[in-house]
Amino acid sequence: MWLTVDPRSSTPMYQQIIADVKERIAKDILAPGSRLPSIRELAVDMTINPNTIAKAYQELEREGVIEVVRGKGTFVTEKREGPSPAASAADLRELLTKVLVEAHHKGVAFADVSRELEDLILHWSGSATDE
Amino acid sequence: MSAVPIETRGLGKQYGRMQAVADVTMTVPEGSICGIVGTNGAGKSTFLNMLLGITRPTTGSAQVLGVDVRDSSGKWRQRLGYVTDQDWFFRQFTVGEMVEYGRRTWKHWDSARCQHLLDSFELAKTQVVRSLSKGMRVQLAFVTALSLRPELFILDEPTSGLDAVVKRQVLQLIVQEAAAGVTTLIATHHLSELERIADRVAFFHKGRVILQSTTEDAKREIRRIQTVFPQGMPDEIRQAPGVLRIEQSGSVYGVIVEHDPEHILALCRRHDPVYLEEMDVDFEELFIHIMHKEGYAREQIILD
Repeated sequence: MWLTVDPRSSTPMYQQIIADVKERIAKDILAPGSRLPSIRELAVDMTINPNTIAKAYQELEREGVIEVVRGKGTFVTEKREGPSPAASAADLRELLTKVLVEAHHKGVAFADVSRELEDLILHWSGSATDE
Repeated sequence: MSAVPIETRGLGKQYGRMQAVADVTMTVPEGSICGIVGTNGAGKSTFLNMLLGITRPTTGSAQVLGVDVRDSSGKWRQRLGYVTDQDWFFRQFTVGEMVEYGRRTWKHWDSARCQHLLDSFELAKTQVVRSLSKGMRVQLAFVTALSLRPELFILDEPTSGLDAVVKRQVLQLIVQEAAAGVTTLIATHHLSELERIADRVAFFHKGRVILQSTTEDAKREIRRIQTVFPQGMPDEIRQAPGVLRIEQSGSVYGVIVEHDPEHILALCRRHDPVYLEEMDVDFEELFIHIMHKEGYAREQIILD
């Protein structure tokens, strides 16, 4: 796996790993049931502290995104039960607000943000069905 | 491995009238990668040398792998891998002779592992140490330090002056050892590397430890609040207790806050910010702010 983290980012590294794994699942790069690298493999590969990986994996397991099968490894969960739709909507709203604030500071018009988002949706739904 | 790998109490070293290290009490748990950070002359190497049994402490005590460092048998050194950017090899030896020297010196020497490491670094046993590049000598140092099957790894500036490829190899080895439960103490100026691999950090300043904690907690010591106010930065926030510094870039202000930022965040909210976010500071910023609090001028803090 080729996860990337930036220690200089304002987001803690373990949260970046969580986001990256989730993104790969959403894009179908990581299919349900596929095996994730072990904590050790990923730590060496990314040259980051094994505890950071362990923390990200624990959180992903707690959220039901991945599951640990004793003696076999860590896998992407087959069927996922996400958080409640209301909670998800609130999270999403918060995320989008950040995007709009960022756009405002970079001098990007909101209409352009909207166009960019539509482009991304097209691109993603394309890559998700191509597999 | 039952004892705590490193435990010091009030450890100090005085050279004549110069206090190189003073009153260091530190515990490093098993499997941890602990970064030792500080400006040149902060006492990092003296501290490590005391743990290695190279330098004798003048005050306090230190247990390394459960053995007192004043123990003259030096038994714990059999279980300890040490890499420094100071060259200690016999320059006229070949790589093969250095390996043989290692095999005879260390009880738990692992020849298969040694060969595997030499192969992966593409080091030939016929090469003479004198002819090796800086990067190759560091690789050889890691080969010997890892072949003795260490329980504790002490690294003093292991990556200084290395090219990107060797640096990555070295960092991967450190992480791999940590994943296998080896405890690592690493003194370095490269804070961005440390931020990735360390789970603990100790900041040294004038021989004393001014902050030590997990890397996560260390980042809670100093917080950055990014904010934008339609009318500019209110004076009330500028003068609020806990505000260490305010940086400005365009319309965005960065408020550097000590400890819990909640009261500053609350204060900011009262002034209707268009934007407000709490952020981590990186290690370099963290170090500079802590040093600044200790009365150092920001311009004097040079890490490399």
